[in-house]
Amino acid sequence: MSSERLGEFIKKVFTDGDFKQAFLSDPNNVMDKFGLGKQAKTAILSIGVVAIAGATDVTRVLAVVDPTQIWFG
Amino acid sequence: MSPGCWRSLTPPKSGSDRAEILQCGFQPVYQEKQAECVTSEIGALVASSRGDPALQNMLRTWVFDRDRKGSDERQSPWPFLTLHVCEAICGAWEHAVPAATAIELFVAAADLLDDIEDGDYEFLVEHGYSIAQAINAVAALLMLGQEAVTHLLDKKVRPRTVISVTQVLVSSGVVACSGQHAEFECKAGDISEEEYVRLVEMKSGALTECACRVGALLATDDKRIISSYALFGKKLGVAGQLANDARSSISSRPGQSDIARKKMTLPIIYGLKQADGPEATFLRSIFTGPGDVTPEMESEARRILVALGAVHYTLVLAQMERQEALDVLESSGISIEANARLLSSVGLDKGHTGLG
Repeated sequence: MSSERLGEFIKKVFTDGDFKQAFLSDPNNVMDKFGLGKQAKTAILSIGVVAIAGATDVTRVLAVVDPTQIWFG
Repeated sequence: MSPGCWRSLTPPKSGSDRAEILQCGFQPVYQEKQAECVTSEIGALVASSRGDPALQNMLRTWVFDRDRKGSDERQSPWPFLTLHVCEAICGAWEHAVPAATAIELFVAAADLLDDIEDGDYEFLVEHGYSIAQAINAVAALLMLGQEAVTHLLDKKVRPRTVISVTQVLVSSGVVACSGQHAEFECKAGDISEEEYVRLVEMKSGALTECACRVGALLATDDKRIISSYALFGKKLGVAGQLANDARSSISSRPGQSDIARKKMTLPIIYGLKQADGPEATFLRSIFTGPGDVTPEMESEARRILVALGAVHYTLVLAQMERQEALDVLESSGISIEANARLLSSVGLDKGHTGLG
């Protein structure tokens, strides 16, 4: 799991308004330019660009990634 | 089913209720049959043991009731993982029930130890048990789990395979204990993301890997297939733990969260790494400084983590693990159709789509 670049990417989406807008407008292009790997891009797109940009209730994002909530906790 | 049964899903009252439950990945009717088999096996094991009735009662109470602590109706998924994997590969699951029972007892023991280690005495207080009794019960659960494995012989499973199942349970348990031990040695605020993920693989990953590997061992001799399902289980466990970390960072009860306990999890490690200026100083003061975390500090830390994208970052990593789990399964040589029940039970079927 290579996550250094992904961490920087998510932080930028959450703290840089212009970057967030660019990501929402053209997610593939922005992710490519940022150098995200294929796995990270696929994961983000499978969850949903709007959701990853923080514009969706986070509990709904949780429901996508962990629909059964059965393992731990 | 009898009161106190481990499998507590209430049958849905209408078609739409049923559809909703199925959409959530559960299969009430089918799993009820499997659950009854495992419940019956556990009940027989406890009853036939030569233990004191008071101990037997404590074991039953813990194993059957512990999944209702959160007041929802969720059930232990562990036995189903073993049974679904076995069925996906060979088309049958009944002969794997003793192994699924062993997994359930094994995880029940681990859950009880976790509560003791986390200082969560809700169950003990509610039922009037001491910590010493809980530790004793953990030992009994582990031993009953070993006995459960021997019942595979009654199902005509080959002795060689029974030995392999025992070896997997033991080695997985030691790996999980090693992960727990390493976590105790970590100083708060002094663990890298790579180290944390390695610990998750050893703890959560080892248990799900074990459940899947055992199910595969009871279905085939093909080492490649067995390895594929074991890796699938490991990825699934890591994904589940990361999702749990994310959930815990935003929704735990005040005073019970990972923040309040200064427990290093991925969102917190991410936050400590990504925060700047006063927010970084604040987070470090919480996780590396002395003293308790007040509700106000907990709330502010949570706000900072959410604002930095810590929850979303953790969920993306969890999703990557889920994708890898699916990839592994697709390359196993077993059709997706055969794996449908397994995938549905863990929320990896096509019914679960993104938010767009």
